[in-house]
Amino acid sequence: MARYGMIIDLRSCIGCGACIAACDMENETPWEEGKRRTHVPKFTFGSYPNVTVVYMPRLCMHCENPPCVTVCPTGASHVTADGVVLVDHEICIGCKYCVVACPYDARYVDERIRSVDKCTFCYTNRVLKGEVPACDATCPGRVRIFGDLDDPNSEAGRIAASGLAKPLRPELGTNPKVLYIPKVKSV
Amino acid sequence: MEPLVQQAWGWLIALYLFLGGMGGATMIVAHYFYSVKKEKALAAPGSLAALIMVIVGTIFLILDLEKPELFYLALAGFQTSSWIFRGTLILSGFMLFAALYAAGLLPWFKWVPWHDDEKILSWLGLIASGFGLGVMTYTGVLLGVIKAIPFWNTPALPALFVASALSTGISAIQWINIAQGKKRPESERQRFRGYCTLLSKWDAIIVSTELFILVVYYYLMSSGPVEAATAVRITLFGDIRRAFMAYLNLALLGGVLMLFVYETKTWARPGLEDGWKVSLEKSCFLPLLAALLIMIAGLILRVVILQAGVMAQLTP
Repeated sequence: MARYGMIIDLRSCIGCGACIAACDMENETPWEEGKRRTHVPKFTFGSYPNVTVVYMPRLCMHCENPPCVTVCPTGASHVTADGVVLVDHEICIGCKYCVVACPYDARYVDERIRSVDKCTFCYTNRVLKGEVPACDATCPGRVRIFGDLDDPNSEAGRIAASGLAKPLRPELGTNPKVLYIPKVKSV
Repeated sequence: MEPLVQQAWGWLIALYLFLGGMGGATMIVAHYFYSVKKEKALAAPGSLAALIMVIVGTIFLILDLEKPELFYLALAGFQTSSWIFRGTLILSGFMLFAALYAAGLLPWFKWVPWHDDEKILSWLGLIASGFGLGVMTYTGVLLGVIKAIPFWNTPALPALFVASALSTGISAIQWINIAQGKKRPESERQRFRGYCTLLSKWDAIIVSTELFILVVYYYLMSSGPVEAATAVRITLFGDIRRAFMAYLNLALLGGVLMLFVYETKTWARPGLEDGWKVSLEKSCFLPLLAALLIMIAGLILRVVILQAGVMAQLTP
């Protein structure tokens, strides 16, 4: 079985937002601040003339030990055999416990479907058809590299094995499968 | 950078946490009066009030769901790792046994086979009280297991919620006690005056304990992770400082008034009317007021804790 994950290269992200648009189009998300499957906040470090700007694409981390799945009372939040964390909208009652429990602030309530929603890595609509997620496919800077983290022949697998890319908040023990290649700050 | 505060749970959940905790504690105190003091006049309305509180609290919880019509999945989903599943189980057990217990005590249910059967009611009350303790504790554990919010992720929070639930539960029984005493002739009323003093003593002790736990909790959190320290800061000096101060002042005032009621035997000591120029009948105002203040404080505490749910800022 694959162990799908994503490498995000912060050195290359220019904050164009194409990934957000692609995701919104592909998944028909509400197109509203705070209700997106992915977003790209901007961080500025230092002060003139030593300033570094970092764009940090954010999405569900598809954790190996996902707190959202542990707290879900109905089993709506679940993990596929490929390690992708999904929400079954049919049985999600919208208790929002997962929204509170997610340390990566990756979930939101989609009022249109009366369910919690989040990034799926475009699992059913693209990945199962052999395609990469829409955000990866559209990124002009190759910031997002989707693949099987256990496959030494995949780019994502090679980067993950190299140790170059790091998870966010490793101290929580959630073992995220979205890993970040940090940008060296000049300040 | 503005603190990132959870927005998912608001006032409906605060009401639920408050009513659930208060209901659980009210049941325990009501059963104490049945089993130790043999006082059906408090146990019957007390257990009924406890049941109503938990049912109303659960309704608020259901109303907070995006799909209230599927609320049964919280139990039927059978996800044993979830504290909402566990809590629903505890709530269901509480409602079942509290209803059976109350039915055995209330005059409208004389037809139930266990009506006034002391042995069965003792067991039912004990089980309902066990579930009551479960509800009180669970409301704190529900938040306490959330690692994403360090201000909640501490054993001090369930301890604080249990203490607050007890203080509000005792206050609820205090109201019932005074209401029951007031409608009885003077010959019987003295008993309830004694209970008033006893309940005031308990409440003063529990409110003191609650405030002590709060101080320890805040001390631990202020020297804990940055998000927890931020939560402490926003409750003390930020947007929700007024609500926090309202909680603190009401709890403190309620506790002091309860101590005063206990020390001066207000309502219980007939001589008081001379010194204070307050009629004996009217002097039950103080314990009623103290109980009300403590109950309002309990509700505000839940609102403050939810609004101080500061999450970690993810930075590169």
